[in-house]
Amino acid sequence: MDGNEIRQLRGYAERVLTGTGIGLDDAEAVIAGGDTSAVAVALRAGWRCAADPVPALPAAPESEQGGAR
Amino acid sequence: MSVEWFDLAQRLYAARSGVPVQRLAYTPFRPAAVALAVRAVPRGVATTVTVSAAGTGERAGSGRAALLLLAESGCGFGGPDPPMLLTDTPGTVAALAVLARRHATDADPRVGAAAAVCGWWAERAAHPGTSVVVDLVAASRARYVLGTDPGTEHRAGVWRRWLGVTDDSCTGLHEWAAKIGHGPLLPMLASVHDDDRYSFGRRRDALLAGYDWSRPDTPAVAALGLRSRCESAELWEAALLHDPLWRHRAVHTGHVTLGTVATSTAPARRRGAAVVCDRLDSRLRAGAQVCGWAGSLDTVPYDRFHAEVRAADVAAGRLVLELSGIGAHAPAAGAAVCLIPQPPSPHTLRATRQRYRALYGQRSWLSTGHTPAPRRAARRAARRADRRRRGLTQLTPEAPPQLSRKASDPMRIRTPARPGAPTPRPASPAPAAAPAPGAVGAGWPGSELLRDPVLARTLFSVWSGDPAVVVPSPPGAGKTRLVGLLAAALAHRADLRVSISAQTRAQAVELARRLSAVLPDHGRAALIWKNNTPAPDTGGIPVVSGAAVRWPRSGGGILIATTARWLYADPATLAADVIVVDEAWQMTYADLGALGALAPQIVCVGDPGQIDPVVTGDASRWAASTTGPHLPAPVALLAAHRSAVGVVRLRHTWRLGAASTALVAPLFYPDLPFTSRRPPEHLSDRSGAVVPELAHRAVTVTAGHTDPALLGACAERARELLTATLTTGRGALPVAAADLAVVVAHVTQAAAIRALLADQPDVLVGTANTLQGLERAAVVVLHPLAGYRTAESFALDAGRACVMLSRHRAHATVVTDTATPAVLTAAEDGPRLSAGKRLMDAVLTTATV
Repeated sequence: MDGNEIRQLRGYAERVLTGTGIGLDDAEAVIAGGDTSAVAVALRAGWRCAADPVPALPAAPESEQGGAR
Repeated sequence: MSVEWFDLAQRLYAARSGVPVQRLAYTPFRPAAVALAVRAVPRGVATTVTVSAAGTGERAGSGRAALLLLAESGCGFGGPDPPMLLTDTPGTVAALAVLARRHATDADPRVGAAAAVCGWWAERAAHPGTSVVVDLVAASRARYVLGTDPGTEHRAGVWRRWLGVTDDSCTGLHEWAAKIGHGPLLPMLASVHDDDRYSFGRRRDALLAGYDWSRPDTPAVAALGLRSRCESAELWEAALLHDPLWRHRAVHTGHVTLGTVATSTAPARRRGAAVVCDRLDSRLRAGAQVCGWAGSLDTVPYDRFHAEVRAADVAAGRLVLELSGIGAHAPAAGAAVCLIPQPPSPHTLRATRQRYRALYGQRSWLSTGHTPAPRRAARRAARRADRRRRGLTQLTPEAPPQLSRKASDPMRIRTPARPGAPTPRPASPAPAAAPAPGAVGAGWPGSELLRDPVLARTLFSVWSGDPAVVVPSPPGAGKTRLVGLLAAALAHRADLRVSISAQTRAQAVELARRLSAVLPDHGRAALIWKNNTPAPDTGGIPVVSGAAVRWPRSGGGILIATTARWLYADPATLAADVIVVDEAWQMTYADLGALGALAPQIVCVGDPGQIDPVVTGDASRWAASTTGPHLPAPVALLAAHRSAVGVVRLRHTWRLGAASTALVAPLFYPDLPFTSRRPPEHLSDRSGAVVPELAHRAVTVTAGHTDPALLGACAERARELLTATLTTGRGALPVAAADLAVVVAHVTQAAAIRALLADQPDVLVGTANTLQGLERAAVVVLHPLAGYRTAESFALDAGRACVMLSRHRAHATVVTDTATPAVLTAAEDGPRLSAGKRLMDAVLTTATV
């Protein structure tokens, strides 16, 4: 990541967190904590999903309903 | 929506780790045997193309030579499988399409074939989930998220750097595709790939047969093309929900609902269950078909269940979904369940498209696009002959058309006013007033039409043989009443078979109820309903399904169904004389063209100011066309066949008062001026002071369009209005919950406000889409731009704003965001923005409450 990208990401993060009472520098602490506010729950879910993506996938055969079976 | 926070966390993780984070566990496209990496750039009249086949370096050419180059690289019909196009520049597909059209009929078969494939690529690019055209930037954004501002993800260079692709030539696109296209394919996309291969074969056969693919689309080709695009879009949306990573994200967009089964009932065959949801912002609502399973989000097991959401209510601050019709694998009480919208069945989609093709194959004047000659006299003569054959009364060209079966019957349609002449004001202020002088006596179903010259003109226009009649109507002008009376008159006095096409099941039931009040003989009408589902209350009109759907053996009749149902009808058994389309501005021209196979005459009644038809597919191919298949049916119909279409405009609203009419009419109906004929009606507050018809309340918003301050202001205003008094011609009564509605732009806003008003379940809370066609004495309107900090296109939709501001009779309060005027000022100019600004200015001139 170059310096410009980091600046842009910080600006984006601050916009998204406006009004939540959470600063960008507190985000990782909120994720690691036990806060159950909507913003904390969503941040934690996104972080966990990024850190532990589903390990193995079955090749999904098509069913009549179109779903994995 | 909390999805912005979910995404932010993923971006922060990616920034920290320095590698892209996966959004999809499955790949969104399947690698092909022949893949061409292409960049095309228009330069003046020529197009420069750079191409690289897998394992080869890149080569460049211009104009016809570029097509030869593509042909040499494998762009043609030589192989059994379609060649795949890889690109990283958004203009490539469009530039190739322009080049291909220029050389579509080239004498060299290699150039012709390459041009045909390029044209086919351009079509397939509009089908989400296709594997034959892969925009690598878009595919990368679908599968990964980067540790950057989302705006930078539109740049190919950013992706190359994050993915470690060092070769920025066309050849490097193959490496890029390999890096993002690994793993098993998203479930459900096989159906789109079948379509890829099928349409490739058709294009090849057409080319061999000498067909010029570059000709403009016929109505049938356009309609089927739109249908195909919409099906792909629906399959793509459903496929995403079959990806475990996407499902985790979709919890935060409301597309996946998690909850616990509170109760599970087990009647003889089909179970019901109440699911208490973890969150309020579910997108599921009453009437939705769902698929669910007990267990976690990570896997979709084989033993999943299917159900219909019978009701969605908020109790004790929790959203409770009542499911009905659960067959196998019903979850037990206490089980944690995941619910997603029922995915479309590829088999059903194929069957629907075949029915659609069959209706277009009937070659009606609408499906062929050949405008019938204006031939009222000829059609009258044909009808006279037909009626003579059927033993009915003749019409004489000299006299106004009689609708009586007996020559001695004095009932006649009055001579209609000329189009464009001022509309005389009815003698009475109410639509159901006494007959005007000169009108004939009442006594036959639909005879009330003759009391109003404008309504009588509609009947005259149909009866005199106009192939199509369009009736544009402002809100609250009595459209449903007109449809009911018109159908009754045509069926009972002219012995015609009349189909009524409604856009939703609720509208169809409402039409049946209205007809029940008009028709003396309910046996001549029927509502077509889904098999094995409880019949609705139609006021006595029979509800039929399956083999019972048929016309009366003699005389006229009326069949009511949704447009979706009519698109399944067999013209051999269910063809009618006239089809009346209710809420026709919500129907696409493609669907109207298919319905043309069912009746030679069409009547379109609707409100031109409301929300356009929902089109899920990419319609950009017809963006410049005035007769595109995606357009509201009456708009395209008038553009395509003006000389064959009679137009009768309704000029009065019986719902909106003078102040609301003065705001709504110039903003949303510049071509349909109308006036208010609403009888006096107003609200008064607790002190007895009259509440102005329109008012606004500004709120400071800091947390988006679901900010609790914003939604709380709506609920608070609704509670204030519940303490008011409603005065109408029938006297003064306290405002009841059933007199009140709250209308918002988003499903999530509606769910949250419903929760805030959980102790007032009779207050109608819904989105503009769900409240279309409904009215209440008082309405709280949440301005569609409230909470936004950019002027989003969705929030600027004039149809949505029009619906929201035209549901009330006595009073509307618009809840606004103090920042919205600045947002509108900062946005780039455009027609939508201009209308949005004028609306905001008009709202801010109303009283502050």
